[in-house]
Amino acid sequence: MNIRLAKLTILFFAGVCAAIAGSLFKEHMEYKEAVVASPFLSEVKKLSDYSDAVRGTVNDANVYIFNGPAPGGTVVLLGGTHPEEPVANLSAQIFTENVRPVQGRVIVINRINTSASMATRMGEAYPRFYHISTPWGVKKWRYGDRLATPLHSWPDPEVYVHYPSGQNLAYMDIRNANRTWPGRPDGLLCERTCYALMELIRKEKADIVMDFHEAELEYAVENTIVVHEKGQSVAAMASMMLTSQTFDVPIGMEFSPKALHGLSHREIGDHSDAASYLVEVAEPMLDRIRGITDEELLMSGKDRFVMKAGEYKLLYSPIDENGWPVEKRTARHVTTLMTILQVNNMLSPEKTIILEGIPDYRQILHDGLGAFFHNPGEAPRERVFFD
Amino acid sequence: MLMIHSVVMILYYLIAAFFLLAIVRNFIATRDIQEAFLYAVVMIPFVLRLLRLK
Repeated sequence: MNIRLAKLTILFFAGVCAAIAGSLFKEHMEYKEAVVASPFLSEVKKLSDYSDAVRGTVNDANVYIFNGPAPGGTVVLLGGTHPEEPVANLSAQIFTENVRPVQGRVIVINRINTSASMATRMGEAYPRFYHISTPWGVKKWRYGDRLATPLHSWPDPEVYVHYPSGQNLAYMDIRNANRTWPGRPDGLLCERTCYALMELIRKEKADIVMDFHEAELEYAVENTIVVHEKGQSVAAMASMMLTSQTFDVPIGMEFSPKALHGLSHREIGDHSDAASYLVEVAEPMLDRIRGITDEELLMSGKDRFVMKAGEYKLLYSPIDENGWPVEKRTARHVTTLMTILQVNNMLSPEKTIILEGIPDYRQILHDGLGAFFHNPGEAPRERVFFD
Repeated sequence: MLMIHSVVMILYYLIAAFFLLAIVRNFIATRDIQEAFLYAVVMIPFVLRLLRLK
């Protein structure tokens, strides 16, 4: 075969591969997630309204604000800190689409680290999207990575020196939105994002901040509420109530370590008046020992390799043939937040927050998640937003 | 700090472009089909990076 013809053929083949890969990456990066805000939405701000540190960046998120008719406390919900933990943004969006505040205020950000949701983890063959069936069709979300993409935050330092503690952390955690609290206005993307979020929390005088997460079953901080000392009484009571009355798998309570910096449950409590909480639930997709990495595993939470590890007592969470379905994981987060509010209302009545319209644990398990996401095609345009 | 990072980011893209050009040059020069195939495959991540797609 003529060498020139062979090279042209090879170049064409490589070009087709690059074009297919490039178009798939581009589709993932540019996909906009529709959000139908609850009819009780008061206003939508941008994160840059609180700080110029994120203006013009991909992490300038929508801030959904719901003011109740009666004064009370303020709760801020943070979703999408780690976009490879989809229940975090699904839980936040359940509130955005359904909440009816009766007393106090709720402020929701569905995705605080949008950059990390625009690319999946390299070398892991993650699915690009995940889908949930609803009564009106299939709704789609971007699946993502734990860290902001290097396209938006690069280079990483040799050693990440956390500001302001000076603690040395792993280099890539400069792109981790749960290692860069409280942030700084002239830092890299995640530091600026967390700084802007701190400004939001301070300016809106938040009383409670909830950061939703998921964790691999091999990880010790699992099925638990991690709490700043300001919220320990509330978290302890909520944990006991949920374990005794609602959840089949107990939810624990852990104190935020004082010597480990950059995490939301530590720094938000230290640098604002708010009590900061972080909740974890089991996500088998994140386990190193998982089998086929696909959307089925992400949504069903069923994996025979993870189960086998459980048989050898190598996990920090139980798992059986029913897995950890996305409905159960989301239901736990939503119910945990509602229980924390319920307990907080008893202990701090002057900061009462009463939210209605939010499905309870059994309702989510019974009806599925799709019942609580609304059709953007039929909703009034002024209530449809894109994250 | 931001300015230093921006400069390094630009240098990084220049380095990626340099290596892409070097690979293209080798692709043109080689007379071995297997090598040409290898060069073509290696080009893909550099192209995607320069286009800011991955």
